[in-house]
Amino acid sequence: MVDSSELLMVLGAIIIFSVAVVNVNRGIARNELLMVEADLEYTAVAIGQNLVDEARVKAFDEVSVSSAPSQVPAGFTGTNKFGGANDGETYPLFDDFDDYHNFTRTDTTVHGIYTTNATVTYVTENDPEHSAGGKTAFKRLTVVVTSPFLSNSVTLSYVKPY
Amino acid sequence: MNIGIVGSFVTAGILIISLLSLRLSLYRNATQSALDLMCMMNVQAVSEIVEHDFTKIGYGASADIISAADSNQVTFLSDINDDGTVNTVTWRYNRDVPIPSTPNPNDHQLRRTVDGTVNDIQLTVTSFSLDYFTATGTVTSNPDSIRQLRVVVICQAPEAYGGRYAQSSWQKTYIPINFYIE
Repeated sequence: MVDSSELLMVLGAIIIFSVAVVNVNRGIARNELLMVEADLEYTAVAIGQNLVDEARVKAFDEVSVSSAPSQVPAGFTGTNKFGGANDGETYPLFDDFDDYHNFTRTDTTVHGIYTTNATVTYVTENDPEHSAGGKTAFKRLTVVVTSPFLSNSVTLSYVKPY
Repeated sequence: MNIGIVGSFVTAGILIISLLSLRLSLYRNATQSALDLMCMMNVQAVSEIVEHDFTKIGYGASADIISAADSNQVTFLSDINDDGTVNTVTWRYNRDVPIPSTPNPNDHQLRRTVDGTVNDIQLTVTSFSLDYFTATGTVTSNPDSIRQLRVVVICQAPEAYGGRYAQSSWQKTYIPINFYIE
């Protein structure tokens, strides 16, 4: 007859081993996920940078597209008029920086589809992280890139001075 | 027959097989991770060199910035070293020149030429394609109309593992600011 204490010890060993195997497998899966996400994030940064590059070559404001505004910054467009639709402009024919406010674009890559959302706000030179209360000579473009395969979005910012 | 001894042998056998299986799984994963990482590092290395050159397209040049442009090759002017001399830079992916030092049959030569000085980038690049766009995003092949360039880079591992080559890719559209400076 088998001693039940030995059987219990064997069962305990198997349970400990099983827990160790599950943890190792979890580690392997986590490692693979991080590798894939790193690859996806690298492309997400490039896509976000692309929109920043596109916007930064545009005029600072609708009123400065062809000539200098009469008053700086009072003559600039108010935040309630940001967005290409308010100027009757559609992508890719945006002509000024704040046309990219509330703009959404999708890019199809070898890694799948990325969605890019952009917002524009006035900031001050001393505090570019936070929105300024009114008009200033600095606008910040915030670009958020998301993908269904990324657990976190990628956010880029660019401040354009007048 | 002592059922206790038989039971012990069976249990020990299962444990040994499980341990070997776990060890094999860890080995496979380590190899796959190393190959994946190698691909990612190759892609990043290529992208850093591309970034260095493509963001400077047209720097110091006044006209005829891009002289040749197709899906495999681009030739442009730029003061690439910021030394006051405008250089002629060519990037070419030679699909007909394989890299002999790797067993991967898909990687080919990526050549960067600056004023005739050739640098071959041997980083297992299996695809390097270029597309060109006007300022409004329309596809163009006319060098005078180009305002944006899209680069797609794919690198594979030099060695196959489990019948497949690990792969990593990157793409970026460049809008060189020098096109817009008058």
